[in-house]
Amino acid sequence: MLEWLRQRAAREGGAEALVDGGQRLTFAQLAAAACAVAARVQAAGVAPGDRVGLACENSAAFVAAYLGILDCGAVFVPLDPSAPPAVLQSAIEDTAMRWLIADGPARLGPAAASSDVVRVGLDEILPGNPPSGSLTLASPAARAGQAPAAPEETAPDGLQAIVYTSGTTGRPKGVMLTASALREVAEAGVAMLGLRASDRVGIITPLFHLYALREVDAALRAGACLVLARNLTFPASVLRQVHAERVTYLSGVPAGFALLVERYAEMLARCGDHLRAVALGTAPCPPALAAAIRSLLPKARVILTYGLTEASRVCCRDAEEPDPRPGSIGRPYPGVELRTLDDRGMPLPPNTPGRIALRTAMAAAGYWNRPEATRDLRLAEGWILSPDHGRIDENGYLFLQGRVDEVINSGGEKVSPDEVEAALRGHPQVADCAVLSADDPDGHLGQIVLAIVVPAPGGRLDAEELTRFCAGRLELRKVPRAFRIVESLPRTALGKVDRGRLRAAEA
Amino acid sequence: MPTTDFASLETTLRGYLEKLADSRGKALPNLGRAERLIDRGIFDSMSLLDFVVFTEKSCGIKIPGEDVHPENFGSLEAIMLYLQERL
Repeated sequence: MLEWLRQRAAREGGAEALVDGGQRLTFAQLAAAACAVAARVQAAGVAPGDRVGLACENSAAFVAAYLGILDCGAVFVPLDPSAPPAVLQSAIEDTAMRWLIADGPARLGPAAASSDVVRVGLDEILPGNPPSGSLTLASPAARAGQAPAAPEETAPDGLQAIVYTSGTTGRPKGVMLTASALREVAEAGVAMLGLRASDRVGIITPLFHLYALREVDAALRAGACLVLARNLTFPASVLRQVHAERVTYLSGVPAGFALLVERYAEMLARCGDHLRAVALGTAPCPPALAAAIRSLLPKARVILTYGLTEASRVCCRDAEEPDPRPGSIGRPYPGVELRTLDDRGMPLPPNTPGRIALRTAMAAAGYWNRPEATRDLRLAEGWILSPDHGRIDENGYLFLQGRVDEVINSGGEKVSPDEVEAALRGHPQVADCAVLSADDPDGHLGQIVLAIVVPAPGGRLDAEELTRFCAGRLELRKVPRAFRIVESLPRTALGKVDRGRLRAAEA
Repeated sequence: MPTTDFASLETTLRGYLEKLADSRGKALPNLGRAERLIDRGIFDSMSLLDFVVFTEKSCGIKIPGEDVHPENFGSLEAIMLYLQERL
């Protein structure tokens, strides 16, 4: 990524590279900012291969820190800046994190107690930045007075990032992405969108997700300008910035676009004279939503995408009216091979439903410190197994049929029921619980997290208490939005919770 | 049109925000009128929409999407100033 940035800076250093609110950086300035961060991080003792976490809101400082970490040869670990301390601690321990960088001491979580904390004023890194802001570097290892433990598993060559994702088991898994895989993801994005240096790429989702971060890489590859929208909570504010900055390409999640269409349609339509492409991913896009966006933005391509953290760009297609292949998520990106497998792992003929497998240079190297999960992911001859079920028609179009596991997709955020159940079981008055997906009654999120809870004898529980309890232990997106308090859970003959019966009862 | 009791309205909205914050494990003791709500971590785009709908019902008005930005909804003080202009 840095090489692309430096090449662009050398060619046309004065061109605009990044807009963050009132701050504008040229390619030369962004390259200098990345170097400045790298110098500070190296001075703090970071060596190539060390894991360095970043817990920052979307900002120019985030991008400079991301590129600075890569410049040191360190492994980038993006973290949700609003995650509770327990979640941060889990990532710190799992990666044996050398340093954690945050946009303020309050976001350091458990690392704030480190004896080794360095504050770097943003005015030292980013030209024209008010002197009030800072990046704070803390060494979680210094807290314990020792160097981080060596990871059990040897990292793959060229490991560049570890991105956490919810899997079937309770603990989030760190997806290992190499520099070459991320370069391929960026190249594929540029090719699919036809991105060029004249484009202005709007970022309206959190950068700690690979879904947004890959757009930064794609913009750098194309030499395009990044427009980081501030105040992501306020859709009207986001659309104002998108319009004022003449953004040409946006990617987002269906839940977010559903909100824009429902409440901010006029503002979105005003962006139609400069937006040339809009991509929707991370969750299925209802056909009515794609049609509504197309009618508001008649000149823009509306692109439906499918990917995994483990392989960021798998399939895509443009939404069309009338839709010649309703229900399809498109064909594989160039260089991506796709097949469906039966229960024995054997390839299936076209139109036969099965487990989706793929082979691509964009694929993850595996899961950090999780050799068993890595073995489950990586099949022979470079194929990897997705968690999704579907069929591929005779023309290569993929039709998704849902996940094979219980992972919940709430507004594009993946939530592991096991992780939520583990948090709920920490409540002294919870005797038993099961977590399922339920349809979002408001229709925005697709699915919501539903917790079915059995109180301990004599225990009194209600949704408010349980919500409060979970919010202190889980990221907000994982906190159940609905609760049922029941006397007992149905169980199978083997004593496992009978999710099928629970789901049928909920339906 | 009856005169709006803004003190009572502010108490109602403050109560809603406190309850919302409480449900997210982020208590709001002594929430300052000018304090940035976003910094207290209680809003995401969905809960903000819920709050706007609650405000609409409490005030009997329709709040256009374009008005829902930090200058109008960034703090309790900003919200009350906006509503005083609208009501």
